[in-house]
Amino acid sequence: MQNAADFSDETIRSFLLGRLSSTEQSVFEEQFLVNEELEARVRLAEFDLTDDYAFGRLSATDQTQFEQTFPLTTERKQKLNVSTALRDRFAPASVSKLPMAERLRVLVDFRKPAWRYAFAVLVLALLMATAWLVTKEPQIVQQFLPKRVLPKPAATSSPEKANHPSLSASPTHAQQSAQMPAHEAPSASIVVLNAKSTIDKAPAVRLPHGDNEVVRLQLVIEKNQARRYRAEVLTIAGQSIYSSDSLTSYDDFMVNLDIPARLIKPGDYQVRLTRSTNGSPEKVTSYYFRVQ
Amino acid sequence: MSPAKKLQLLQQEDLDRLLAWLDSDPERAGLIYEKIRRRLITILASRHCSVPEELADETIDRVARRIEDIRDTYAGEKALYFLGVMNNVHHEYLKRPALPPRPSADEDEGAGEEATYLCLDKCLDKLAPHARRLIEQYYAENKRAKIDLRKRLATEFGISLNILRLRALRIREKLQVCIEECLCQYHLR
Repeated sequence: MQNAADFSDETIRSFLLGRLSSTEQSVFEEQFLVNEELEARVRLAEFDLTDDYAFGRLSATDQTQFEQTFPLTTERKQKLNVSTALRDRFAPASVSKLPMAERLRVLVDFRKPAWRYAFAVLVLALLMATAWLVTKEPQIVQQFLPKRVLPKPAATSSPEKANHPSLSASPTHAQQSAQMPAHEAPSASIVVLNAKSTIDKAPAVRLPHGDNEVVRLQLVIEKNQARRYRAEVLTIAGQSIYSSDSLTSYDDFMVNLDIPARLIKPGDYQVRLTRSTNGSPEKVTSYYFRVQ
Repeated sequence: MSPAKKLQLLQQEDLDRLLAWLDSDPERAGLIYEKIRRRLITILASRHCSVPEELADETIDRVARRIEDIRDTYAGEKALYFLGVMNNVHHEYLKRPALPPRPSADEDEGAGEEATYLCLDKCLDKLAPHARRLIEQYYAENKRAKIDLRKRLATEFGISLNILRLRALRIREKLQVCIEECLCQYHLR
């Protein structure tokens, strides 16, 4: 009959991981059933093995065999739970050896009582701090309370006059302005166009960005010969992109034409100005400009 | 008497006979019974059996039912008789079609873990100061530092490395028993 000392720690571990040969297994099983000392060693070796597993000390092969063979009984599962709890309780250093995902799982395990107590303390501290603030420092609290907002002034019935008080007539622009609050009124790029400018010397217009922007062309006229003008904007190829009727002169020598910026693309353009004389249209002049 | 009642009575009679066969002192017989059952489970697990507890209980049932026949004739280590029966039970198990693995009770795991942590703290508090210090230091370091630390610990405690390991594992075993008792109380509440 063999005694417990005949079995090495390595043999005991191999038995627990189920990797003894069938002959070794039979001999070991018989001794294990009748030998108290061997049984005690096996019992302690089980703790050693579960601890090594929980602390990530097993080789990849041993780890796989452990997972297949070991946690099959309730008792062993409980041992493993305790090993894991011991690891979390005492061995933060060993946690750093685990893979990143496992480390995060261990560290950010909100089921642990420590996390629950921490959250409870945090909530309590926040409540106490709030109560202290409200009672002792009301002026700080006032900063967080919403201030009463005065009602905005109502839009005027003629916003085009409010924004462009000197503009006598600009229907398209007037409609846009009427829907916008004063601070959101479209801005204009203003260019003075002279009838003497040829296409080669056409002034450049910098196109503003935004759907509500306009390009204002100030068309210089020789003298105020009519009360109403019509302006049409065309590409050099002759395609009409915009027109405006019922324009009036400004200070008798200039007609303002506002073109929505969204209609204009970079390129060369022509503006045809006509006037209405006795009900029939008559060409006044043409202007050229270039959009960059 | 209903068949179920009759079966239950027979099983109780079998068990009583088994315990009487194991030892004339009922208390000692109970301890031997538990010891044999635990060892059978360990053996079956090492054979990669997925239901070691079930097969161990089946083995014990079969032995209990045969006590009448073997009581006067069997000579030798009684535990080894269980091993022979267990081999048959295991052999039959291997012939059975494989059953799908049982789902683990995941929903209970969270609560179980929490209880384990609480019980661990309680049981650590119950340890003698030197035992607590030993266990804290024994588990404190990682693999690389483990050997150095344990050598230092062994020197500090004036014992060999092997004795240190045995002491630590025995404290660990005590902790396990304490935690299991604590968990029982926790679940009874």
